[in-house]
Amino acid sequence: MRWAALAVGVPFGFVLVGSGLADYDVIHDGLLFREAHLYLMMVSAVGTAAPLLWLLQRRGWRTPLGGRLRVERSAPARNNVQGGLVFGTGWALAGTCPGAVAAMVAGGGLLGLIVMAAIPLGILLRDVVSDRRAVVALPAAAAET
Amino acid sequence: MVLRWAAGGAALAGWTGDGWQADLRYGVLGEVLGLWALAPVLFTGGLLIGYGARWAGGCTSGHGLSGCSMLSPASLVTTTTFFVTAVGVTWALHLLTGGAL
Repeated sequence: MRWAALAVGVPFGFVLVGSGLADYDVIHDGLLFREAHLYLMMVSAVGTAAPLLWLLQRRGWRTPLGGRLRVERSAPARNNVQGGLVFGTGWALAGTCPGAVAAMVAGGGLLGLIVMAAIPLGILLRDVVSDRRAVVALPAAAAET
Repeated sequence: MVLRWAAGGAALAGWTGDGWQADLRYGVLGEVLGLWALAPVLFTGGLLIGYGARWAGGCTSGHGLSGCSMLSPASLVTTTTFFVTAVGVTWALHLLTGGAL
């Protein structure tokens, strides 16, 4: 499993830097519609992967580690929109995302370390908030019944 | 795990390019804000990225690339939301800073 992550991760980082997506200016100019880089990268990545996944699933391909390939399609929920709103704001502010920031730092952009340090804290904060909500919701639900 | 190794690939890209070099630049944002104002902005951005990705169940790679490739409706909704939000916030920053950003 570790080696699979290595085999996928290294080319992914390589492409992120090579395509410029690890650069604040490229993301920022993309979101201002000054540059098509961001969209071309995403469209070409999805455009390559989507038909391949569809074909592999149709032919019942077996993955080397995880058995039969199954494409899971989940129904959208409210958290997708809520999380997307928060994530989009952070993405616009820092001009980077979890994958790209790792590539940024490795490429020498040391300030990316600040973003990289804050991401796990944000995750932790979300877990604390959702746990607290669950605890508050439980007695309320019990009181209703 | 994949994202951690992405850093290795990125270093490789720098190495095969003009050679690896560390710097404290952060594009236009660094030029506009300067180092001391930049740090808290980047920290806040990172917090929002982590919080939002956890809430939505994925980020630009998880939902944007992988999920969209699987045509998962949850991923399509998430990706549309964060793209529209990011474009809106970026344009707001652009207009509020008089085009500096």
